[in-house]
Amino acid sequence: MPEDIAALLRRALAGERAAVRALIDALAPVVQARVARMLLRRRAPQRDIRQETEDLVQEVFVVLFADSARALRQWDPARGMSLPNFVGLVAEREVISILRSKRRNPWTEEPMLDEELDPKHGEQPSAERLFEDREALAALLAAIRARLGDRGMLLFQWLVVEGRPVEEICAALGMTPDAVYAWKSRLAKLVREVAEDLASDPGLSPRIPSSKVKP
Amino acid sequence: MKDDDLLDALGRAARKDDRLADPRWDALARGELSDEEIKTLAEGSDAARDAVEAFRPLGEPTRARLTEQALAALGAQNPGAAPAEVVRRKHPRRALFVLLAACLAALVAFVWLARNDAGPPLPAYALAVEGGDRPFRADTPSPDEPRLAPGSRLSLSIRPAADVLGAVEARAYSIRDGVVAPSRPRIEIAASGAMLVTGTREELFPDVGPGRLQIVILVGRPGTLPEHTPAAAELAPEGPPRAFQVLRAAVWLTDPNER
Repeated sequence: MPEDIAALLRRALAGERAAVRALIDALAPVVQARVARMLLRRRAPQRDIRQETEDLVQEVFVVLFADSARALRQWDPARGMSLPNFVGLVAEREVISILRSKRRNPWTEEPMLDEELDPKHGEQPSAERLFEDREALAALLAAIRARLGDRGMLLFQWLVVEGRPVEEICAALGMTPDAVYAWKSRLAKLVREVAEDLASDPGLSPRIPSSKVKP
Repeated sequence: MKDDDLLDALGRAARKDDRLADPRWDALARGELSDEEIKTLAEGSDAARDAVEAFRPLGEPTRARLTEQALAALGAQNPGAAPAEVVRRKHPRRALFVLLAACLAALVAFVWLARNDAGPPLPAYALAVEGGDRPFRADTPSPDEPRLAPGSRLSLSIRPAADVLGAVEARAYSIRDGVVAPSRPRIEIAASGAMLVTGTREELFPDVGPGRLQIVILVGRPGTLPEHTPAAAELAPEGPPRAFQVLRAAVWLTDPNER
């Protein structure tokens, strides 16, 4: 990455061809990697992962340069985020938006609501032992993922696996911090529920009611 | 163990299990891996091979196309020249098919235009709205109008009953209290003539306060859309005969203080 990416951006925004090309060379791998990870983490089979990736990369760049590069001009180095990270965030937001628009209302089909979790109050938690067993952890992860829809998966990945800051998630998903914390709480409850479910199973096989599994 | 500790433990386990977290994927996208390293990454499963395909660096033609596209967008700094920015989606691998289809469409259009004063009539378009608190089909009256809180995203899908032959344009307006205001969302038009408008409340309705709002999309052949902002009566369902189609949907912009 060029040391003075801000200067490169300024020259690119002024319409200097070489700078535009250099900026795209610098940012394309970031955009591509974010797009590819989001596509590959979706459980739906891809029609053509290469084609899908290139199409989405192109659409992200359309957004970045649209309206006289309004999105790029919103980057402010004083806020502490690097340009590649900022662009990566824009890429993720756009991919979410595009994927969301391609299927009818997919995120309202979230099965994971508190009232659906059938909490087993009064049971003594025995889930801890799962965390001492690699195979059991793998089963737990698989069971958790089977219970989450697209949005839940994304929040699980960003909040739990990658440990992203809440404010970054808010910016990418257009959510309030309260909503993100609520999701974290739901995810914790879900983990507890599924872990207890598995821990009570001698075979450690995920016992997931079919009605709660996302198609 | 507390729930947060469970989450942390699971997060650690998931990180160990997350093959896509491997920084070599980023190196692959940057073109920094040797053929041998790429071969190693692709070994073992179909998923690994798919990942290599997804992360394989963009080729020169794609980068050149992105550059031209960016330069064109930067050069189009002429506010007021068009009510909306129109972006045609491109499919790199289907460029040849698109080119052939475009040639065929041009030929048919030429023949048609040689025999007719106007372009071929457009098939009927339908507008579907998704986003906000609840989605609904805009072509069936419904009290369930989407409610958009600050930061909420809205998607307008404008689809023809059949694929469109030839050029088509669209413009967007909003109506509140009988006053029509031009809107300048980015309208993507696919080769089939289908259109897509997406954006956050702030992007689609900048400086518009809370309350009910009518979105109006005009769709027509080039040259048939009004040059100036039309009056509300001209866009009414029972309005005068028009050379373009008028699609409407209503949304609510919620008060930021509303919970």
